Amino acid sequence: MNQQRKKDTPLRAQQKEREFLMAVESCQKPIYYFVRRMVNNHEDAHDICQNTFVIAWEKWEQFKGQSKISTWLHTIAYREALRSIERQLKTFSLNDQLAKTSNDFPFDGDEILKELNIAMNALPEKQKAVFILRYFEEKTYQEIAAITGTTEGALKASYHHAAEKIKVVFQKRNT
Amino acid sequence: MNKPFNSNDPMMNFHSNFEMEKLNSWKNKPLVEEEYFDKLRVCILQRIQMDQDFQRTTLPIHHLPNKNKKLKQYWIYTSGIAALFIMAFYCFKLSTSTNDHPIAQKEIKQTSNETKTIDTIANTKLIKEEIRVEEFKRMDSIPNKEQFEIALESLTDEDLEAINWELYFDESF
Repeated sequence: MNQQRKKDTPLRAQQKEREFLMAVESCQKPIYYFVRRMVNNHEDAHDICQNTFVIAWEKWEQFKGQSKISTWLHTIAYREALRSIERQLKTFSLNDQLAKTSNDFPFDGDEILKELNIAMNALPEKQKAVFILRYFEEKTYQEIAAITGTTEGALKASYHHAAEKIKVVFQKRNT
Repeated sequence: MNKPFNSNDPMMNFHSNFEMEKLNSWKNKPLVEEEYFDKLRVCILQRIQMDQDFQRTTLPIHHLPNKNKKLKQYWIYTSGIAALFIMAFYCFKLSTSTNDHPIAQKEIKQTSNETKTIDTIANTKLIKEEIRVEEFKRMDSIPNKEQFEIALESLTDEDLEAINWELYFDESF
């Protein structure tokens, strides 16, 4: 029995490594884009991405496969991003954050896109996350509910509020 | 990575009045160069490797496997004995170094002065007691006076010194 287990352990480790590398390969890009839009900063997004995958590696055995691996990784990334934003809010003011945002994104001088980004950043963190996941990542409400840990109904309301606020910003711009 | 907007989705209609093509292009616009993701992957794997190395080198004692139980016990006993030895050494040092201190010296001086004073007081007291003995000898009203007198008279000087005078001449006298 013990010998069998000894034989299994390196095999399991190899399998873990293989699965993890596949997950990194397939999910690093969406995770980076999601986090980048959440924190609006490349350096922070880079750190959060690293943390996300390090946490995933440490807790790999806890993943039971009840959801997609990308959903699980998004959940970790979402929590890490929120933690990072909280930390930044304690250190920098909102104006500093907005200034940092407008300089960091590649807008190519397009004012509409810049305004959309600023409008997005003015949203509360949860609404912003829901908006990014739905609008940019095109996740289903079921997936977003798993990531953010809220009900689908609450998410729909959050998305609706976010869309309305962004709409107001654009209407003001047109008038 | 991202698909263009589905304009039939009512939740996606907030931007319908605006320049759809621009927004679509922005949505699909890469925020970093593709090569960055190779770097990111390397960074992630390096971080994991570093964490594992760190955990291996700074393995806490309670994570030692059972086969190292003797080693664990050895460390516990050795550190315990070392701690006791250090404590004993400091106690010893503290007790010896106290008298060297100028304040301690002053205190010793004071104490010796006080001893001298006490001695003087004692002598005075002794003299007084002698006086009281004399007085006692003169007192006629005290019972067993004769017995005392006889006892005292029969004693030599050495015996008299050895007497605990307090016993016989207490405050009630």
